[in-house]
Formats: sequence, C-alpha cells, structure tokens
Amino acid sequence: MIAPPGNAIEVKQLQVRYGSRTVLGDVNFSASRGKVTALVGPSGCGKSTFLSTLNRLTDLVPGCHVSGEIWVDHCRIDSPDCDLGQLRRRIGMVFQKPNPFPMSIKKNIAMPLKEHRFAKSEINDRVEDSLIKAGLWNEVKERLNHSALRLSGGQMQRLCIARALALEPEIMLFDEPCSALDPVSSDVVEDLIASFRGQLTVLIVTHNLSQANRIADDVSVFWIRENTGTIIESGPLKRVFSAPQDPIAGAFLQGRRG
Amino acid sequence: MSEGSLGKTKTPLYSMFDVVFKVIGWGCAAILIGAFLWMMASLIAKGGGRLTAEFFSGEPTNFGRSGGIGTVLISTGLVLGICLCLSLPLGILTAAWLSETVLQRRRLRFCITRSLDLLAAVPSIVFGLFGMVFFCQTLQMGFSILSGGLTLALMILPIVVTTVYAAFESIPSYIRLNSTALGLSKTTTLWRLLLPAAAPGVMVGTVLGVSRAIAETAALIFTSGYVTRMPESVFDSGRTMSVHIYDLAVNVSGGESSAAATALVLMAVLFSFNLVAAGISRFYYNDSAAV
Repeated sequence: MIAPPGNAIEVKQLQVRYGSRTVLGDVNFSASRGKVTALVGPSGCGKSTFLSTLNRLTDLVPGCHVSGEIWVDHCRIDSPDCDLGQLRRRIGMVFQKPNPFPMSIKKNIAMPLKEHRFAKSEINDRVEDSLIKAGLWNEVKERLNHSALRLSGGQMQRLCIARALALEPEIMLFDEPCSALDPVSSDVVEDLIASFRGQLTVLIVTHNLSQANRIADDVSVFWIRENTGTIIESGPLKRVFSAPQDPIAGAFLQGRRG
Repeated sequence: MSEGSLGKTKTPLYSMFDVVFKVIGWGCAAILIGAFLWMMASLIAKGGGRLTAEFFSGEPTNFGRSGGIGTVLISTGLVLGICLCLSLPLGILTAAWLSETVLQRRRLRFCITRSLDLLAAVPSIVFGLFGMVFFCQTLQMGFSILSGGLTLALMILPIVVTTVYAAFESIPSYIRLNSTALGLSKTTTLWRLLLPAAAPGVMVGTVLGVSRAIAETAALIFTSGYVTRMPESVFDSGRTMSVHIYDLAVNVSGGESSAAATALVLMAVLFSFNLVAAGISRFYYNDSAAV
C-alpha cells in the first residue's frame, strides 16, 4: 500500500473569513503523498481552521467564507459539485479531545462503514482490521459491545483513529491529537501516527515542537501577520529547523519566540 | 493560640443568615408538602371509599353521582393517544429542524421561537374555540374524541417543541463535528446520534405535554363534548376525566364523592407518568453510553 509520488494536497492563495474578520490569508501549502507534515505555531494563528478547510468542516460554521484554491488529489474540493461525503471518507480527521460516539466500541466503527455502503458481510472484518491498525484490538477484543465511553482517554483517541481508518482514507488530519492525553497514552498515539508514514498522507497540528521533530518529514510554521494567520515558512523538517529562511520562524523553532 | 479562643468568638453575621434561610427554606417546603397532603387527604376522605373495581369498569349513572368512570377512562386514553400521536412526531421534527437547519438564519429562528412562546401562553379556552370552529365545523369532524385530541395536540405542541429544542441545543457540538468529519449525512446524524442524545429531553417534553393535556377541560368541552356513554369510535363524543370532575363539581349537586374519586385516579395517572419518565431519563443519564 505504498502511495504514488506527488502532492496529495495543494493549497493556493487560501483566505478564510469569519464574518468580516480574516483569520487566514495568503496561505500557500502543499503536502507530499505518504509524508507526515507538522503544522506548528502559536495559538490562535489559524492552524485548526486551516485543517478544517481541507475536509470542508468550515461549512458548519455560520458566516465562514473560504476563497482560494484547494486541491486534493488533483481535484478542487472547494467547487460546489464536490462530493462531500466521499471527500470526508477519503480525509479522516481526529480532534484534540477524544470523543467517540455514545455507543458501543463496535458500533462506533460500524456505523460510519454502513453509511458509506461498505458491504455488510465485510463490516466485522473491517472493524477488527481497523482496531488492529490502531493498536487497540488486543485491549478491546473481549468487550466490543461495551460502551466506548468507558475506555481510557488514550484508548478513546485510538478508537477515533480506528474509526477514521476503517473508511480507508488516503489523508489523515490530526488536530493536536495528544494534547489532552497523559504522557504514556500520548507516546502510544504518537508512535501510531508515525507508523502511518509511507501509507497515508498525514497532517498534524501540534504545540509540541519535539513531537514535530520526532515524527514529521515536513513542517509548516504558522504565524500572525497584520492580524491574519499565514504560513511564514515551510519545507523539509531538517532544513527548516537548522536553516530557517524566516527569522521569526527560526526564533520560534528554537524556543525563543511564541 | 489557646484552644478556647475559637469558641469565644461572637456568632458571625453570616451564620445568622444561614439560620434564617434554613428556617425560610424548611418553612416553604413544609407549606408546599402540607398543601399537597391536605388536598390528598380531603380527596381520600371524600372519594376514597368509592375506589372499588366497579368504579374503574362501570359507566357513570345518575349524571355521575353513582356508577363508575370506565367509559371516561377509555375516552381519556383515546384523546391522549390521538394528542400524542400528532404532537410528538410533529414536535420532535420541528425541534430538530429548528436546531439543526435553521441555525444559520437567525431572524427566522427568532420569529419561530417567539411565536411558540406566544402559542404556549394562549389560554386553553381559545384553543377550544379554535378547535370547535376548525376541526368540528370546517373539517366536519363534529364533537368527537378526534377533534378534542387534535385540539389538545396543537395546545401542547409549543411545550413539546421548546423542551425538545432545549434538549437538542444542549447536545455537545463535538457529536456534530465528528459526525460531519466522518462524512455522515444529516439524516444519519439526526437519527443515530442526535435523537438518542436528546431522548431524556423528549421524555420530559412528553410528560409535561401529557400533564397539561390530561388536566385540560376548557379546550375539550367545545370539541370532544361531555357525553358519558362508551365511545364507539374516535368520531364519537366522549368525556375525559378532567371534564368529568369539572361537570360533577359545577353542574351536579351531590357529585362530590365521584369527583374526588376521579381526581384521585387522575393524580395516580399523572404520578405514574412522572415516575416512568424519571426512570427512563435516569436510565439514559446513567447509562447514556449503553448499546
């Protein structure tokens, strides 16, 4: 399951407004297929908003207006004829707070599978398969019909990852997936995300620079310029950390700013 | 510092306030419970002796002075059934629509919620007159259980909608966010995630609606009428418990014992509705995660 080369995501001149307030402007971004890209930067500079433009979760926000070009796999997702259900199946998303649905572990994964018309006979196998991929199978195989809300925080987060993986996505978006977890669970989830390298295109928002350092291939630094969030530096992790072109990005990555 | 110094300080002001509020609080509770007990005691004293098996099965005789309330119970059940059959689905769907799709159109939502509040404040006699003109005459349903049930449905609709709407609004937004991110349709989100989460609110709305409907007289006198015989169908006229109590108390001298006994039955029905609702919502709150 090695992905073909090329850019999985290509964003040009993206601007996002909430009412009259511009939260993101002049954003140009690309993510290589099969690589892990870390999005870093201080709070409130639009990293999460950027992630939610990619699967059009911004549609849920009243008054949110997105302009510019967003290409996912050479397909413009900001056009009106984009199949949103299919788009969101191909782009999995995991949030900061682990929040499985209030139902059994198995149903958490099976319900989205049924919605996306995966064959009924395959559902049990796919549930097992995705739980194995998320490293949760051995911990929950005895209690698949128990409530997902009785799992620990780290287990819940891995269930959310399994739920997204079951739909066979090509891209996974993580919005600070470890920041609500204890250190041990955080390590488990981090290793899991690192293991997707080469198979999935991963975008991860993180406030933890050493985490970005450990798992990312590429990094993009967000910053606020003239009250608007934008990307001030992006490129391969080693190059950005060792020889940043933007002095503010350099100061931020060395822990002197932000 | 010696040990005794704490005991010697003057009683501070705030602890005096504590005592005063404690007395007021207990006093209020005692008045409330006392009033209820007094009412129950006088009902039991007047009508308790009438509560026999025949009372529940028999037809009222001698204008209700004697006999039972069997036919009245059946009419009440039919009126309530029709009322809930219309108001529950309509109320839940309206609340879901208000909360899930009108979100972005503030002015429209304002108009709808304001008119619901207004409707909730309309006196029941007005609903009764409207029901008589609209259901009985215009739609030619006559004085019937059907007309009464439909009128009551309209009357309790605002209660159901506002309670269920509040339940939908209190659902944490992450459920919608996760559901959308997984590509689930709005319909699936509503049926599989939001409605189960709103179930306790739906129960509360149902109980409030039923309580209002079962206590209603004014809206029914003009729509369902007050004949006491066994209804043959929902197109027949019928008398509910509240109407029966009202009629016995106002129009029939010597009907007090029947009125009190019927009131006791009505209280028992209301009480059991509340118990069931409390049980169901406790089940949902404790084990909202259950399969």
